[in-house]
Amino acid sequence: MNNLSDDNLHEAPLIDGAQWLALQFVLGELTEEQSEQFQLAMMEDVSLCEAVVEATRLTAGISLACGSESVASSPVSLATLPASTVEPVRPAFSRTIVLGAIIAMAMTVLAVVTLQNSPESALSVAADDATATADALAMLLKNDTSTYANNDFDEWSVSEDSISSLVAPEWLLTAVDLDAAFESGDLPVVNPDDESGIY
Amino acid sequence: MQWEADLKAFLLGILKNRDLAEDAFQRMVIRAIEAAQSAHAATLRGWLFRIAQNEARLLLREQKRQATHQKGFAEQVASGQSERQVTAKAQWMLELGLVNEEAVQAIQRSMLRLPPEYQEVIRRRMYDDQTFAEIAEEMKLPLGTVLTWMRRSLLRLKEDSQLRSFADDLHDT
Repeated sequence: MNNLSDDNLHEAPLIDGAQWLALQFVLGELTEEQSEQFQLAMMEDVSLCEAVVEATRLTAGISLACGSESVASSPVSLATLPASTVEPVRPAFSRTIVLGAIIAMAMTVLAVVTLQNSPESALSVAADDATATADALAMLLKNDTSTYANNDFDEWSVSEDSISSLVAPEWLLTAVDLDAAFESGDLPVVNPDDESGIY
Repeated sequence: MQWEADLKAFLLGILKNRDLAEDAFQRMVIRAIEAAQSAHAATLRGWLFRIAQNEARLLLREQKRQATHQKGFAEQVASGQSERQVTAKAQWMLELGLVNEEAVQAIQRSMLRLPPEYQEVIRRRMYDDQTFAEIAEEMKLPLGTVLTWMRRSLLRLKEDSQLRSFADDLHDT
């Protein structure tokens, strides 16, 4: 690879005339008349077309190289970047302080979380829940007794309907009649050993 | 497809705008299909370049006609987008495979070996899209000096062995 120093570069040859012309054409440096002449020449000479392709490729490569170089290294380009993408350079000392503060905060958060998850705190949470539930129940009993009564009545009505739909057996009705007669004294006293009254 | 990439680079060189170059390429393909019977294998590449150039010139004429109607707007757009256009064109060449990362790195290395003032001229012309006249004025140099520095630098970059091998690889494909 030839490495030109500043001295011998000033004596270095220039780029080929046709290539230079093509590059100026691609860069838009030619006047309108020169540009027209160059295009007419391109119609006759394919090598000029190739020179235009080469010049386009070279300019693209150089502009990409300049772009990536300026983004990567140039402080001027760094200043033009949006603030969010440019990270300020901090000294090592301040970085240590920031790191220490982050660790301290993390430990504090961990301690708080651990205390919240301890058995005492679980009991207190349960007690709070129980109190809240009791309060809610008391409120319900106090305010909604009528509702509950209505509800009970409805349930009773439903159950009465259910009973009325049943057919009572004959022996049950007989037993109830006998029991009622016994309580009113209509039934004669019977000796348990005397079986004549039964049959 | 190497020919496609070369033809698009050629059209970009003429039209200096990616969208126009894409448009001209589509028109060129249609025209080439229509005129396929006049093509000869030996002169196919030159024939395609000629069709591409004709389509580019037709497109430029249409653009000029439109630009006269919307002159103020066109100038406003052109001035605001010139730097972005440079990047967009370069990115397109990267997508087409006419330039790759190795070539870009080789150019970077070559540029670092150039004198700082030469690097400055290249960067201003190729990246910041300043004209040679503007560069000469800002750097307080004669225009001829700026042009000579540019020509020497470009030859230096072109003659870089890594760039040459990359170019040879492209032509082999």
